[in-house]
Amino acid sequence: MNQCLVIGQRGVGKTYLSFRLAQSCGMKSVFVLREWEDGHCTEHVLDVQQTLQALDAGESHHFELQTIGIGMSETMAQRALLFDSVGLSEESAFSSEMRSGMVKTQKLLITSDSICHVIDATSLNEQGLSPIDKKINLLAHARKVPYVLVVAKVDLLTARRKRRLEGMLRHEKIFFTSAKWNRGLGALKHFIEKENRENYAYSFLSRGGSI
Amino acid sequence: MTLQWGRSPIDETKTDAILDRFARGKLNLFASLDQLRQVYEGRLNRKKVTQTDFFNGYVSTQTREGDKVTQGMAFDAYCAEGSFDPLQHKEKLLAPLHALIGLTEVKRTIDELYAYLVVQGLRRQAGLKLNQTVLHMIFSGRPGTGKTTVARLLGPVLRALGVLSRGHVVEVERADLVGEYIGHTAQKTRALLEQAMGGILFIDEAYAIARGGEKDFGREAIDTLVKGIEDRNRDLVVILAGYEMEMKYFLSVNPGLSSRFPLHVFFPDYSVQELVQIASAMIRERQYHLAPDGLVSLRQQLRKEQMQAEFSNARTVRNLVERAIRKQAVRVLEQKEQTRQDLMTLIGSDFRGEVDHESMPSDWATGSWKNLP
Ligand SMILES: Nc1nc2c(ncn2[C@@H]2O[C@H](COP(=O)(O)OP(=O)(O)OP(=O)(O)O)[C@@H](O)[C@H]2O)c(=O)[nH]1
Ligand SMILES: [Mg+2]
Repeated sequence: MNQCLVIGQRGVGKTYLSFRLAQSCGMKSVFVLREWEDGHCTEHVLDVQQTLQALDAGESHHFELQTIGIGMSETMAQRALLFDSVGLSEESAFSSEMRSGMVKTQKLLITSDSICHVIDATSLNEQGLSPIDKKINLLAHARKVPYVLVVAKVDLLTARRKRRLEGMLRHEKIFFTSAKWNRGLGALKHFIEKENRENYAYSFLSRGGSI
Repeated sequence: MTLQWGRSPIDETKTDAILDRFARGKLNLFASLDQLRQVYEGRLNRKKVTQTDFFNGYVSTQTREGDKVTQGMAFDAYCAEGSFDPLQHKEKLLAPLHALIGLTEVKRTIDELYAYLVVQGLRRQAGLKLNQTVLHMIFSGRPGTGKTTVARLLGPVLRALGVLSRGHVVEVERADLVGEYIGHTAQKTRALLEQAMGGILFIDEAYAIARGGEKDFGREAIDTLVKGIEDRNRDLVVILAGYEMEMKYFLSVNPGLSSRFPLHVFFPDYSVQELVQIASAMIRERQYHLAPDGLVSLRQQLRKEQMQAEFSNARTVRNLVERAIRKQAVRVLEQKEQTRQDLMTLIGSDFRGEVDHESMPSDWATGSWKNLP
């Protein structure tokens, strides 16, 4: 099973985006894998619609401290596992819970098969990516795995600003999405699906599978 | 589920060690992401300090694994077994420094420092009380007087003496320390301190940090620096470098700094004689040689340059030499035939004329080299 990591700073909209992707695959409910501190894994079912409503209302969700894996199986050409990870930030690294969450995120960053790097459209300034985002970007490129930059919350941008960002980030493969209004997710989904298919046999073998 | 990525096989013990250090709070997020990337770029696999090739056999592989510093046969001036006699190998350790032209004062200071550190080691062996060793330094002097070069050579020496565990040099300037928004500066500065652990943090044009005035984040950088130095009082040497006058002023307005930087090394301007020596070394290194009249006009030119405000010692010499080499090329091409001797010789007219103070050969563009006699 291919693994796609959704990574980004805190509060950029990773969880919202992940559930939207699940929804756009036609999934009513998702299996959520959750790894606890002591290492054991639990699996439970979440209703996509309800979760999205809760996220839209701005309710705090419980996934901040955990990496959750969403099994995207329904309409993807191959089964894939989408990991919604704990947001990376220097400030919150002081709490030990967050820190161990970030260790998990970094581990996924160096092991996953493809990387969706989410950035918050409203926090982008003229200098380009923020320092942490730059580091993530460089690491992903150094790994040479499929990598996309997802500019989330694009509904909060003016058209003019959006064009500027497009120009600024022209060297990257980028998608503009708005999880709130369900925009731009189709294209992103197609991308993940395509990479997934191309990579499938390879990553299957590299994990020790045999045909 | 064991994950393994076959496309770019990497050393998992390395990445595990990095993540472990991050988990225990020894690394910040920036450093962790950086080091992970370096694993992929294969940089951590290479030997770290290349200058130490010189000391081969005395300083051998010292690798950092996690937090544990594994020392091979690396010698440590403080170690009880006197398997290595630092007095005996002083010449060899300091040879690259002594090979530099001029800088007598600087060499003396470093010699003193060396003696002091060795004696501290001997005192420890003898069970005597140790002085507190604070090795943060200030290098002041005009540009091109060799501040950076000396800092780079100092790293391996301090490492050989057991003061630093890695001896690498991280060179930074204002832009690397000062950020754009609140909190950014502290973040950047801390990350650099982290990166420099075990080695030297060399801050060039240090006075510029405070240049921005009241609203500037430079203040924050200095405060973070001071705090960082307090927190990491071992295994890190910070060097502030810059012009003498500016550094004096900088320290006078930041009393917190001056008390923490007890060592002050002054780099004087080179004399004409020394500048000529530097030029000759550069010329020899590039496989050219000076005709007698070349030497005369080189000396003349250097005297003239010394009067200029933009004069930057060794850097100006380099520009002078490089320009002479370009002029020589044009001159030689205008001859009917070129002997091997012609290809190597720099004559007087090659050195005359205005020197561009940037390293870019701007006279290519203006065509001023065409007005040769
Ligand atoms: N307007 C708008 N708001 C969004 C969008 N996506 C996310 N948000 C809001 O941004 C906030 C954070 O979203 P999350 O999905 O929880 O962010 P996260 O990246 O998972 O955060 P952490 O898990 O804490 O790192 C929520 O209040 C969302 O409602 C979007 O496309 N448009
Ligand atoms: Mg989340």
